[in-house]
Amino acid sequence: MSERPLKMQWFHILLALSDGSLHGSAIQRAVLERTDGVLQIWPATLVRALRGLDEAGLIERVHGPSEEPPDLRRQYYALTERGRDRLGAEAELLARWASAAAQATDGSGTATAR
Amino acid sequence: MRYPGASRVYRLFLRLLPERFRDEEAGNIEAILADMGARRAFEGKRTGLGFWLRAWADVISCAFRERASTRRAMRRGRFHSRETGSVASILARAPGDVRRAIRGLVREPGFAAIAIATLAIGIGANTAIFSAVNGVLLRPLPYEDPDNLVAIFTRFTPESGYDFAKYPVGSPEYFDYRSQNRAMEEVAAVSTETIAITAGTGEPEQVMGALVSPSMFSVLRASPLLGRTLQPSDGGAEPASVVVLGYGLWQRRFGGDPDVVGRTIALGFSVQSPAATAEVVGVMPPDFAFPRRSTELWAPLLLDPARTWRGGHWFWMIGRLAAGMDLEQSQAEMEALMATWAIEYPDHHVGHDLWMLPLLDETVGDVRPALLFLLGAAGSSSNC
Repeated sequence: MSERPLKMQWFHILLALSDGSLHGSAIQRAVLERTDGVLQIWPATLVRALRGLDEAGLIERVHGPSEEPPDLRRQYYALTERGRDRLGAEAELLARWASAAAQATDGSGTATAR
Repeated sequence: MRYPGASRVYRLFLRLLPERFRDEEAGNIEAILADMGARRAFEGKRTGLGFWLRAWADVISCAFRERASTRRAMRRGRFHSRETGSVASILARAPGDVRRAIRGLVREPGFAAIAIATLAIGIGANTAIFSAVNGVLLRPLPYEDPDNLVAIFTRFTPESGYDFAKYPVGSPEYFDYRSQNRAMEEVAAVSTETIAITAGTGEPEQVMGALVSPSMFSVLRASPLLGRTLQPSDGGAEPASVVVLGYGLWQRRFGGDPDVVGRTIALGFSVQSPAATAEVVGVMPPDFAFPRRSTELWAPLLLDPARTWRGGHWFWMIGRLAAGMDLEQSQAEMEALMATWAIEYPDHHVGHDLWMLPLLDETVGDVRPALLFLLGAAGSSSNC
């Protein structure tokens, strides 16, 4: 597995999709909420990232719930097997880095700047 | 939405996206943007200019990145072995690149037109916003010796049981500041009020007025265009029924008639009394507006020295530093004065501190970040 981390937006999109398929707007909101309002992915950038993830085989386009009226039907996205594996590998990588950083700051993980 | 044309502009910018990307995704992008707008409305947030600037910037930067990555992918495919890096090879490639760029623009005149329009809008926006920044941030206040003007507020630290970073001043404090401090040449009380006016021509209207101590005009060293400003005898416990008109109001409702000075007009003060009449004593020149750009009417504020309760705070103050005093010195002296209050009136002044700043910072403080953001946004959009 490559050691190069995912782009932050890609990581958060994969994370948002780990609970099930979502449409673009819901992904955007999930990322915003998960990051406490820090990572706002604007629409065009989001759609471009989703295309990139699709091309890389990490997510795929799926049908949304059929109860949505056809004229409001949106594009839904879901993690592929490969995407789920990649997210897991990424989590391990980040955890390794985070624990190194925590050790470097007294192992407390809550080092504060003065 | 407050900017009805903004979504049209957004759709125009969507045309910058490569054709295939646009055909497949424009609907998705617009749906997400519409959801964002709806969500903000639901949360009671405005979809203002800041929102649209970011939305436009998102599309524009996405279009450029998408086109750049498509080009990179094509070049990798076609010219796999091409060497890169050396200055000579870049220069050798330059004529071809220029030709290719021109050919691309000719092939896609729509993209070319929008790219040029984007540049034009960016340059125009830069110029407009730079004039605003120049007018508001770089040009000092239009008063004599503006560097000596300060804004005076108070603050309540948690010690007082409250926590207010910036709080108004009360009337006994005003009289103490006026009589006991030597750091200020003169101080003035300022509060804003919406005032209804029916006199003159046109529909009755609400104008932004200011109730002030007459000293406001002398602190700012502002002179009238016609008549006089407020004088000390207009203020106090029983303020005189007089008003000074702003230039815009005078032009708009009284047709610039100089005879309006001396006339008595009907006014509705929302606080002092439901309806009152006041004599117009003067008109200010066009560049005078204080404390806000929209202030158009000035009347004396009721300030009663006999009113000694120290728990009420409802106006702020401005002051002109005494000769030879700088901000720190006067701050120290005013803080010393407030320290004596904390001993004399512990119920009201423990944990009650001074909040003093240069008047320019107070006046532009709220718009400074917005203006700098706009300047940055206009700068980056025209530099894409």
